[in-house]
Amino acid sequence: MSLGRRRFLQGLCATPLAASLWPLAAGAQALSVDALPTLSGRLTLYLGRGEGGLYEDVLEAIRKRNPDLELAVRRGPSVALANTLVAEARAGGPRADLFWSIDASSLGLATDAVQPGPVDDGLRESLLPDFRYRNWVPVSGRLRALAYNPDRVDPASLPERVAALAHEESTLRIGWAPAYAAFQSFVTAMRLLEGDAATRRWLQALKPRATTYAGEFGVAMAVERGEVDLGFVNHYYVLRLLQGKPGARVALAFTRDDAGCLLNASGAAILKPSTLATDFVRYLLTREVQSYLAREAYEVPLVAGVEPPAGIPPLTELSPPDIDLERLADLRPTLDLLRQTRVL
Amino acid sequence: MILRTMRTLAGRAVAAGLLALTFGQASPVLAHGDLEGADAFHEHLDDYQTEVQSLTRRADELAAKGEFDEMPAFIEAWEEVEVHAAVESQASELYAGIWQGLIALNQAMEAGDREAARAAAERFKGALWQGYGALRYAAARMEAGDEAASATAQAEPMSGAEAVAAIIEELRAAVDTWESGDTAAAERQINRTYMQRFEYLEGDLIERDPELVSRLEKDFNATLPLKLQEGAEPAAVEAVLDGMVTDLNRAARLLEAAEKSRSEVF
Repeated sequence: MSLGRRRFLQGLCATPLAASLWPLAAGAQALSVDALPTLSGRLTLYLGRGEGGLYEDVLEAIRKRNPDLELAVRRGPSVALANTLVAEARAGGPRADLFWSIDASSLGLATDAVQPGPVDDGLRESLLPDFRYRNWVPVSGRLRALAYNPDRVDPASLPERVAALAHEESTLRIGWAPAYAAFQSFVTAMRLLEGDAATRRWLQALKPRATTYAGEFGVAMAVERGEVDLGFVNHYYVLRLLQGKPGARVALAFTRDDAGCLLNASGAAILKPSTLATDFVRYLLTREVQSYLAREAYEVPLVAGVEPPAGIPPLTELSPPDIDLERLADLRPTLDLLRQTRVL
Repeated sequence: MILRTMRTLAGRAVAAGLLALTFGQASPVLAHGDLEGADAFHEHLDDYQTEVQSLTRRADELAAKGEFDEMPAFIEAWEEVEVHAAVESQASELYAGIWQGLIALNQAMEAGDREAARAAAERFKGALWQGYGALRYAAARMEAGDEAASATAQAEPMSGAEAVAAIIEELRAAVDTWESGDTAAAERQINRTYMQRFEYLEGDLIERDPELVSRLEKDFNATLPLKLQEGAEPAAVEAVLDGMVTDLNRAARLLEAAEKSRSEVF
C-alpha cells in the first residue's frame, strides 16, 4: 500500500464512512464528497479552459466547502499552459501544483517535462481500470461518435467500423470539421491504430463526399437539416442539440474498436506531489463532481457507480479502442496528412 | 478552430539548424543558452525579432519565386522557432492569425497563384509582426509591474452576460479597425473573439437555442468577415453587426437563465 493511500485512509478513520472506502481497492463505487477530508493550505492550479464555466463551478464549490483552502488559479488555453509548464520545468520547476486540462495530449506534454512521478495508487484505483494512467488522472471523458439523420439513414445500415464508410459502395454524404482539435485527435488515433497509409486512403476516399464545417456543432446541425447524412462529432454536441431542440432529426451511433469511438479525456496532473494536491484531485473524482459534469456538460464519468449522461449507453456496452491517450500528442504527422490530402 | 501544433522538446534544439537550411544563410544566434522558455519571453525579444525578420524575408522569397516545394520546410521552420511558443503562450489571441496567413500562403502556392501568394505572404508577415509587437507590449507592461500582462494569467472568470458584453465591445472595435483601413487586423479580432470568448459559451446556448448558435457561428465565421473582405458599404457591415448584437443580447439573457437554473455541485 502506498504511503499516500495509507495517510488518506488514516485521516478518514475518524469518520463513520471510512469502512466504505475499503472496496476501493477492488475498483468499487466512487466516493461521496462527504467521505473526503477537508482541504487546508495553498494550491496553485493551472486550468486549461474547457467547458465554459462548468469547471469554474466545480472549483467554486470546492472552495466553499473548504474555507481554509487558498486556491490560486491561472487560466488559459490548454496548449499555452502546457507550453508554460514546459518552460517552467526547464527553468527550474513548475510554479503550479496542479494542471487541469481539457485534453490528454497537453497533460502528457506537461508531465513529460515536469516528471512528477507516479500518481498515488489509491487515487488511480478510484478510476475505471482502463483509465489508470501513471502520471496523470483522467477526470471525465468524451466519446467520438457518428451523428446521423434517422430520416435519411437506417441505423441498422451503419457500419461497425469507420473504415467501411470509405468503401466504394457507400454513398453516404459526410460532414466533418477537420480544423477542430477533436477531429484531429480522431485522425491521430486512426493513424496510430491503422497506420498512415490506410488513414490517407480513408481520407481520400471520403473527401469527395464530405462537406467541411468550422466546428462540430455545425456538423451536428448539418446532419439535422439533412445537408449531410452522417457526421463525425464529439457525442455531447448531439445531446445538447436534442436538449435545445427536442425531436431534432439527429441521433448518435457508435462504432466499435476503432478510432471512430475513441474515448478521450480531460484530466489533472499533480505536478508537485503533496497530500493536499492528491486530496484535491480526489474531489474531482467524487460521485458528486462526476455526476455534475455528466449532468451539466454531458461528459462521461470515469469512475464506477456514476451514470453516464442520458442519451449514451453505459461504457460496458461501448467498445472504445485500446489506445494510450498521451500518444494523441503526435499531432504533426496528422496535420501533414490532412494538408496533403487537401482535407485541411 | 485554427490548427494548433504541439511543439516537441527536441525540435527546439534544431531550430537554428532548420533556419540555416531553409534560408541558406548563417543561422541567427539564439542567445538562450539553456532555454528559459516562453515565460521568460521578455528577455529574448531581440532573438524573436531576428527570427521574425528571417521568416518574413523567406516568405517574400517563396511567394516571389513560387517555390511550393519549399513550403513544408518553411512551415516546419515556423513551428520550430522560439517566437512561435512565445506568441502561442503570451499573445495567443494573435496566434491563429499567423497560421491563417501561413495556410493561405501554402494554398496559394499550391494553386500556382502568384498574386494570391503575395497577398497571403503580406498577411502572414503582418500577423507575425503583430505577434511580435504584442510580445514587446506585454514585456513593457511586465517591466512596469503589471502582472496581468502575461497572456496566460487571465482575469477572474466572467459571467455569461459579462462575456457577451465583452464580445459586443470587441466586435465593434473590429469594425472600427476595418473602417480605419486594416481589414486583416479586423478579421483577426473577429476570429479571436470567436475562439477566445464565444466558443466557451456555446454549450449552454446550444441547449437553449441551437438556431441562435448556428446563426452566430455563421456570422462570426462567414457573414461578417466576408463583408469586410468584399469592402462592403459601412451601412451593410453595420447591419450585420446590429443583427449579431441582437442575437448576442438574446444569448446573454439565455446564459443568465442557464446560470440561475444550474444545479449545485455538492
